[in-house]
Amino acid sequence: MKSKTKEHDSGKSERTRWVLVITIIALVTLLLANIWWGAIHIPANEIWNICTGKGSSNEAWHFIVLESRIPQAITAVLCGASLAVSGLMLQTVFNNPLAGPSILGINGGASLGVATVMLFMGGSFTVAEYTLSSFLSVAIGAFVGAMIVLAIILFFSTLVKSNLMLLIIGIMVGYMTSSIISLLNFFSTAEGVHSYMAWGMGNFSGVTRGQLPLFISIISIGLIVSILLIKPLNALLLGQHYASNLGINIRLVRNLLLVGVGLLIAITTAFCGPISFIGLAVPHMARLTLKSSNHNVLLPYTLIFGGVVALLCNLISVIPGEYGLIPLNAVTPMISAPVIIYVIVNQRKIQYFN
Amino acid sequence: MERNNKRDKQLKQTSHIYSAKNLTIGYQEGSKDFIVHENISIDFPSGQLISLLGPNGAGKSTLLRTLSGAQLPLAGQLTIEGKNLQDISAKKRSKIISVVLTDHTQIGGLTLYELVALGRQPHTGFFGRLSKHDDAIIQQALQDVGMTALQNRYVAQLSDGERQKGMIAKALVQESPLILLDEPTAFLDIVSRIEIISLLHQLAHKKNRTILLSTHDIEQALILSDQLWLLRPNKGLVCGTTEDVLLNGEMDTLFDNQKILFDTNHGTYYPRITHQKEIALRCENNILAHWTINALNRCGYCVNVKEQSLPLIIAQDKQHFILKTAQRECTLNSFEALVNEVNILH
Repeated sequence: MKSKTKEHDSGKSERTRWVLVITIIALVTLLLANIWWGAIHIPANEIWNICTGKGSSNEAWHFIVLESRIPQAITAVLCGASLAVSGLMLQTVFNNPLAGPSILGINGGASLGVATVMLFMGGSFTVAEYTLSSFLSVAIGAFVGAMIVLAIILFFSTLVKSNLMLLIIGIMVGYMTSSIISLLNFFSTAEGVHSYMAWGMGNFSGVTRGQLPLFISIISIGLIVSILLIKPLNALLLGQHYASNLGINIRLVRNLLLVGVGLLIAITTAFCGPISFIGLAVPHMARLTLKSSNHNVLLPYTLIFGGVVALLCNLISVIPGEYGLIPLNAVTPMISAPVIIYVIVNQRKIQYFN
Repeated sequence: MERNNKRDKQLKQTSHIYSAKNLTIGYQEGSKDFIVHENISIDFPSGQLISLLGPNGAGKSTLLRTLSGAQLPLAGQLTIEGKNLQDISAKKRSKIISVVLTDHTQIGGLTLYELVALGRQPHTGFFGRLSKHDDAIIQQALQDVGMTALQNRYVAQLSDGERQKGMIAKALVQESPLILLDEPTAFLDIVSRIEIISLLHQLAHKKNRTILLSTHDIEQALILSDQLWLLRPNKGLVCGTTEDVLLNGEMDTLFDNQKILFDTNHGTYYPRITHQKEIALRCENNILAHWTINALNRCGYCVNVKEQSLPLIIAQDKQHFILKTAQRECTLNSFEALVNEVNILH
């Protein structure tokens, strides 16, 4: 009996290992593909030379790879990871597999913050030309907006016991933020509206090479917070009461988690626009492929998977080549929404729903 | 393993690990107090299985929540191992009291082993890594609840009873001297109910844990509980060894309802018989007598043994009944025939 269970156990962890390896290979492949593929064709050996510091015969190629494609690919990985891990944390803490940053209106809150800052500045800057101070004001606007919505949702979660009703409240809050944004648009200048519209379509090219270090550091803080919360997140799978009986300080964990999520959503939204669905769908893709809800593996895996999905979306968005970009928010739902539908239809068969 | 035994012995030394004095339980809403019960004083006997019985809405869950520290008492004192419960940090408390609740969970995607391992959280470090010692305790608990073979199954693949045993194993690995369970047998079939209560009884005695469960399964509770706690609406709490409580007639005070009566012979509640019709019965066999009375009661008869003028039934075995009335005498060969005959008697 004992040898049998051991065998079974090692079979499972072996599977986990393979899934991890394959996903990391996918991440690296997609990362390279994102650097190689773009509006302008650059031969692979030239890219290799540029990346290894040997330089290139073509100044423009050199510039494109270092100033645009590499920062864009890194941004995509980090944004995807942030959104996915935020979605996972929200799903666990609200005890609701259909929670996510966009459904709960958190993206909307961040957008409202961004809109307020952008439109009140009257289009004095555009997305592509963030200066540090203007960037900071946008980021702070997004953070404040995201935290306000999180606070509202948290407040309602104490009043409303039904998970479904809480989601609907989140959707309503999202509608309210977008109607306020419309109002702001109405009173804003044409340039302001234009730059807001462009931002709202979402893209990973918003972070320049110069801003990359700041972007990476803030995202890292959020991701580190999420990793520190792995143990209480596992306890929260049992629900609040069990978790607090296991010695978890629910209030502290919840506040840390919400600040972490707020930070991640705010910074990705400020830089890349309100990117929908990745936060909702990736945790499900991760659970389905990993076949586990254990955050010890699931959380790091969701991080990587988020990067993979974001890189894939980014790759699709540059397919038209020289004809321009497909807005990111036109790509993410096409990849993610079917997953959610699959999960809902098959929820009886899917383990983590029961 | 050795450490385990040591701890078990340690637990044995204190007779009352936990006590409540003049406890008032209830809710605070704004500045208003909603009192559910007042003046509850209890001592937890160590290493025993205690069943908390009471009608719906009597406050069983409120009492359990208060005792587990999840909810503050409105007044009174809870003392555990000589310390006030409120002065003990949540982390320490999690090693003293463990709970099994009826809450909605999201653990379908964990394996049984991972579920049980969650109970080690109070003992593990920051990232919750399990040591060999933790693993040994988890394996022991899985063995104690008889689920070693299922440890790699997903919780979603377990039956309700197996899931409940997993939760009990989770409580066991917390290594708390006290385990509180809120209706652990609700939603289970009769086989699982008996299995769960027997398991809890065993654990209380063999592992020297004090186990308090709230339940509606009065029959099973009476058989295996060392103590009964009856939480009666508006009348307070009665505690005592099961048989003392039972034979003191306390069971009839549990439900504030004139329509049911406790049958001390059989340990179950019966609807009160209010029939006017009477009949006499003569029967040597206790089992046959019991079920004959049951059938007669259902037909609206009270059985009166002393009265001579009544119609008489002589039950010989389940296929031989003789019905004697003033006018006639007949032999009946089944309960069906008996019931039919009795129904047309008046």
